[in-house]
Amino acid sequence: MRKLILTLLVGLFCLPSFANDSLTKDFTTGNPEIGSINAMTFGPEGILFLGDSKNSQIVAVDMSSAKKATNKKLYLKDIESLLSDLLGADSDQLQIIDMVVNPVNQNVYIGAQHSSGKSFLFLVNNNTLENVPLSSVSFSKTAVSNVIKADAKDRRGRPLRRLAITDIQYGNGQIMVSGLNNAEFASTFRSIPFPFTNNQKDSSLEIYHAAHGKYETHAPIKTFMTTTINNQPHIIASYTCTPLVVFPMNSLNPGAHTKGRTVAELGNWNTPLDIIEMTKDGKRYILMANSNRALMKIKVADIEAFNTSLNTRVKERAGTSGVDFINLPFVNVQQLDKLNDKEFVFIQREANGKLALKTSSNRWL
Amino acid sequence: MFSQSPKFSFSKTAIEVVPDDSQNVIKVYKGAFKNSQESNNRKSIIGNINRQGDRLIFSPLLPFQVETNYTVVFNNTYYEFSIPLESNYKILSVQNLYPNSSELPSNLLKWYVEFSKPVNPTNIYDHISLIDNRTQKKVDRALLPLETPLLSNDGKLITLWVEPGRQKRDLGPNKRLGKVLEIGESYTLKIDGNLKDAKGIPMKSDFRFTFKVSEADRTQPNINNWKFDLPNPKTKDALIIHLSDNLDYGSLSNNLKIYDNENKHIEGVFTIDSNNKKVMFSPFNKWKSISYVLKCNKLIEDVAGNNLERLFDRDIQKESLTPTLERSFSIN
Repeated sequence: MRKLILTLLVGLFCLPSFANDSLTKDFTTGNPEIGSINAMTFGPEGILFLGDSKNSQIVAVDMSSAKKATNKKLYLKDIESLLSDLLGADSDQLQIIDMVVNPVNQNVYIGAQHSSGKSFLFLVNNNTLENVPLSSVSFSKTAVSNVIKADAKDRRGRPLRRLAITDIQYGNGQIMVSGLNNAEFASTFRSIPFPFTNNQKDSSLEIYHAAHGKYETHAPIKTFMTTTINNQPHIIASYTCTPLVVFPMNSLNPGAHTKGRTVAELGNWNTPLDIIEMTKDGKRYILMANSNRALMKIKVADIEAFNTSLNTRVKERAGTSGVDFINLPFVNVQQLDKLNDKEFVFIQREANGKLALKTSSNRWL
Repeated sequence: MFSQSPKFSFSKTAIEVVPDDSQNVIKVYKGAFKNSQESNNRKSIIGNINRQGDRLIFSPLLPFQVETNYTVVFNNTYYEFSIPLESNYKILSVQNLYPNSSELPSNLLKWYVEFSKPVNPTNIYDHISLIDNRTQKKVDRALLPLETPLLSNDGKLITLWVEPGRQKRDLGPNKRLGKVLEIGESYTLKIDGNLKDAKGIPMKSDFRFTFKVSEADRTQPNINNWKFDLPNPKTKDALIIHLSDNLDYGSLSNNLKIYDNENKHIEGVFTIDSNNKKVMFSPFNKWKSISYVLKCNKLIEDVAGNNLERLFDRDIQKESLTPTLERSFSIN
């Protein structure tokens, strides 16, 4: 993944209080007992956050001392067969879960999962994948409570209820977590202060969106990013049922019903997979990878100017509606992250059927 | 442990070899290779190497798959090996489906499929389809594929969502494609036999469930309509609750609690039999001749996603009613 949009803003907020006080000062060294890697994001100071659905936790790992990778060119032509060789398992038993770039040193990490549920973290190094063991690391972690208690058992006494973490982001001193619940079709969005404390209060936010002003529904957020809109910190979230919705971060109060403003519908049978922000010539753009559409580009200025209220039916436009977006000539992009100010890195299913890791410059913006 | 030669034996989790030299060189590849030319462009499997006396032990990060060719290289010699499937291996099967009534509403939101053993989650949705029985064709865009499938922690229960964007009134996909299920038509939920378990062994035979589609369910479930079969006092007999609606299996789990007349939580086990519109509660301790309260979480929903508090897609111009979340009953 992804995104780290608020780094600057967070830096402004956090620098005075943390100037002499590292975010990792309470980290301990050992095994964080990661059950699964389901979502990843980098925070400040080279801290990697891992969303672990299996053990219902967020783990922060200090990667600041990790070596910088050397790659002749950031390119892997067939990640699936490479993973299959390295792990000795068939490709159809393996899945790439996420890809993130450490903004401190541009190291690219890939999270992969085996059908047994076992997860692995890899660093793209020497034009191959290098396993990064997580059994002895400097870390801090916190439990993510389920919507309802996680101890639900079915009639054979097995735990049934599970929150599948779909995305995590760091912003404003908070780790935000979106998830899908396997038992209720409901919004499950958490905001947890970081550094983690023993007696923290995480916020469970009930978020919903309205469809064209007539019906509203509590729906789960699938992927999201943090950014500033009209100089205010916002969340841009996409749902499983296509709307792209904007929430002001300051409206996210514990227990509150937070209504989002739908700014676009992204077309039939399409769910955004990854959202990042890039800048070119002082203009900000949102790039979105989609399950069933090409890579999309949206101007942040268009979202800022789109002030249609929730109860107004949005204008329809060529199968989608709301703010305008442009399809870029990149299809089947599954993972996306900002590499540096001028490039993004992505994983794409190519026409030959192979899954490749590549980079592109921001000239497309 | 299988043995191929006095110098080489293997199991699912380790390879033991006796090298000719003291160098800890052992490489293991996925695939059958006879020489370095064949394995030249391949990466070897990641694992830990330990020396115990004259033996080298290689432990892969993941256990070796059954019925898969591997090659181990040491002493400059190539040895192929494969772990056989146990003769009594139990093949993956579908154990249960919720809901499984012969008629389901056109705005059905979810299914839960319970497998006999942990299933391979990778691209699982590619193996699950909805067939229109009139045309015998797959219904396009019927079930929502998620990159992170909604699997229970034991890997046996998967939640399927009938495309919510089409089932919700007025969203783009609903307006352009209509809802997934047509009233009066008959469909089959099919899970193809190529679906593998977590160890990579396919199910082999297809699973099929056929149903007819009835009118959309746009009524909230109401616990006032539930009927109770009361147990006798001084027994641990089950309290049987007959549900009035076709309720969602997952949302009933852990969302029901029983308290006594002093608001003390009664410990016991709920058995969710939503397919027979029943929930049973067996207490750990004997019932007393007092009154009890059943408390329900407002998130309990029916198979169309309407919960005790609100409809799945609520018309915002209509007032919502305060739901009933408690039912009292007396045992005597």
